[in-house]
Amino acid sequence: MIVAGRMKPSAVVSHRLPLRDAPDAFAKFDARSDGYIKVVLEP
Amino acid sequence: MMQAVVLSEPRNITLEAIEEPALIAPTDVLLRITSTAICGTDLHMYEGRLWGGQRMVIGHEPLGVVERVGDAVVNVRIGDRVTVPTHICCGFCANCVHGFSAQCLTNNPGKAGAAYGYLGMGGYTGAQTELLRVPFGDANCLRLPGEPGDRFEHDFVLLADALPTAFHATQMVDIHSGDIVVIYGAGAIGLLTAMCAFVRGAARVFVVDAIPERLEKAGELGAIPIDMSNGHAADHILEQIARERAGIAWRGEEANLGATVCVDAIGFQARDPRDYTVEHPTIVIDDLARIVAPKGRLSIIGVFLDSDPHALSNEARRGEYVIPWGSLFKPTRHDRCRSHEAERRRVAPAAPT
Repeated sequence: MIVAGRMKPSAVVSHRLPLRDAPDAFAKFDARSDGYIKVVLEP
Repeated sequence: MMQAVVLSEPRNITLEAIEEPALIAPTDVLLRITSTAICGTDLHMYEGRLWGGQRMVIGHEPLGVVERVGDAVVNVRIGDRVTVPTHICCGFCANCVHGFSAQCLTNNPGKAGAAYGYLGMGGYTGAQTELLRVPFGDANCLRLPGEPGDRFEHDFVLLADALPTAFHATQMVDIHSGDIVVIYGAGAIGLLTAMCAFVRGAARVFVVDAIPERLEKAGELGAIPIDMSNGHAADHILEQIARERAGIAWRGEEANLGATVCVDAIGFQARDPRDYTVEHPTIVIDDLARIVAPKGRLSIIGVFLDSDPHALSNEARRGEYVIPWGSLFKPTRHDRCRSHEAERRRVAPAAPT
């Protein structure tokens, strides 16, 4: 479904951040602030 | 050494250098992680609602490239792009062979179910790090096409947990063409459930939340956003379903009014819509019991706990929840809707459509 283009689940990813930003990302995700919906960390 | 996200006590998260994992069993795989997501269930430990008093590397949604394989691994090769499901399965125990790999009997001895970076799930190092040891690599690695960083990177990382959880929410109640679906919760799981419901042919999907950005996203996905912060979400949904039918001859189906499928994508930390600071773990199920049509289906994908020392009520602390069970056996919702109409005219404006 994804490769065929019928589904784009990454539409729910609101933030892509380096792994070192995890502490701040957790605080904001927990507070549901700044539009945080789904965070992907990149090591 | 490598960097890892460490939870040392509730609300205390740091990036720390830890030892790199090694192959321990010949069936192990080492995964070089390229993307790793934060899940709502990570917050259960972050907030201390689930806390065992021990430092842990957190995370359970990895995507990456296989770096090393044990001698007994046959189907996974170095360089393969793979995602790894949250729950660690073996592939051969009684539960795994029946398809219930999240209840694996092998990887967390004495319990059913193991997972990375999660309290009580076997003590496995979490996936918010650089390199992950994956037990039973053949059973756990899901091979994927493409290269790290390509246009599917952030789609594929959701295959570890979020998207299959959402798909499961639609599959276990067999969402199909024509369904009217109501989803409480517009977090990643609720939104992906809406996406899966449309793929399966749902006619209407309502998504209920109190956070403006999340409601906006639900609208972008084609769902009807319903703001629950005024406490009248159930009324507004029943009214909209009734309004859609107004003027259309539907002889003999009046009793069917309501949603054919209702999904709880919030769980035990649901908030009271009238006072967002107060938790009310059964408020979603209360609403769903009102909204669901006769012969409708309930899909409870939100997490509930068997004990919750920080809960507000004595019952919830013991993992006991009072829900309107008997109302599910009521043969119609029609009378309820009419009474809501009367109440709406008295007190509440209709939600924007």
